[in-house]
Amino acid sequence: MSSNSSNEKYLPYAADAEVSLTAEELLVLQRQYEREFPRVRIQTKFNYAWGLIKSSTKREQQLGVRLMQEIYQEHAERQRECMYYLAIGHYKLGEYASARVFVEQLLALEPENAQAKCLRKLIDDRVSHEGLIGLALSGGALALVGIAAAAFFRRSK
Amino acid sequence: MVAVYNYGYVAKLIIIGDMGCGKSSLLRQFTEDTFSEKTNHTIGVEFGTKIVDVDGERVKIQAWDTAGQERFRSVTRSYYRGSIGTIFVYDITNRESFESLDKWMVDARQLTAPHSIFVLVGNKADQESRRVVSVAEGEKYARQNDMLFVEASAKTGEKVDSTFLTLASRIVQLVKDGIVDPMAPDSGVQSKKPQDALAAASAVAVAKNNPRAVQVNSEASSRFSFGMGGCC
Repeated sequence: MSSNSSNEKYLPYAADAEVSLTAEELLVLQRQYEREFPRVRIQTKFNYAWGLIKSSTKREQQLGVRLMQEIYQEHAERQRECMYYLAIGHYKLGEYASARVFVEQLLALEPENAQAKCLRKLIDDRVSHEGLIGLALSGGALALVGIAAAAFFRRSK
Repeated sequence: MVAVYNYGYVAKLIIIGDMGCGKSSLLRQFTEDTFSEKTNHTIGVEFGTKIVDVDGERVKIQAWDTAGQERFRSVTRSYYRGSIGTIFVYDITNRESFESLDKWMVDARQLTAPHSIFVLVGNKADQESRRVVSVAEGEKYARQNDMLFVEASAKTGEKVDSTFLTLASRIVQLVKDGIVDPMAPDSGVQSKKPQDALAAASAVAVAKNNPRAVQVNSEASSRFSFGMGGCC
């Protein structure tokens, strides 16, 4: 597991973003869902969506977000946890703008929610980190162009 | 390569109990020395750590604080595995939270590590005038279920640190007595001592040369539990 200090600082509240279930455990949730299909109980659907969002594969995360989104739209009483897990799901998929929308919605309802605050910080940090990488990459590309140009001009002299 | 840590052991704890009895507040009081009247119900699970000194050992306590709402029950069950300390919390001003203890006990017995130490905490001890569960009742329940017992207050901080410290000290004792093996997966305690890491590395080397040497205890328990391994 990640053990650098910056990650550890956020673990308190975003533990569900970091840890996946084993394949066997996810299968239990999936089977329950399939057994009840098409009249799936909301709890069953929530558990399965949660397990999928925690997965490390993109395809499962996407399915998890889709199911969680359905619960979010259909069951008002489940909205706070749906917002939280939708934010985590989008965050894991690299869809930071959507992740932020959901975490902000949750914070609008519960401004003091420490889990939501930590998740927002996690998203913000990732965005600025990837922004820096992007800058470094484009900086690197510019440098390459410069070198190529210099080589070209030297040869053409 | 042996990593160097500023603590000797990592101990995994889980905090369970009905919603609103103060699980997150107890953890926050312990890890951050703060208390807030305004808190939200935990979604799924939270996590907190703190390094403490007990009996000449530095122990990193890693506590999983679970949501008390029924709707998260199956979600939180995945975090019980391999906890060597289980803190049951009820609210002394709320009888229902005391009566739910049996329900939490079923999960804990089934899912935690075999020698997990159970602690019963009657929280909100500062609110004596609203008390509906007597000290004697708490003590009796703890005695019947082989638990340590304390009444504490996340608000004033009374008995909060000492409860975690007592638990950490019992855990260290389990290791020193050889009851719990900090090198076994899912034992709930991990050794971070350099000499133990070296011993583990050489055990692996021995096992490679002698395949029969390793057949013991690679999977501590085969019972099904839902959840994740350790972390950090």
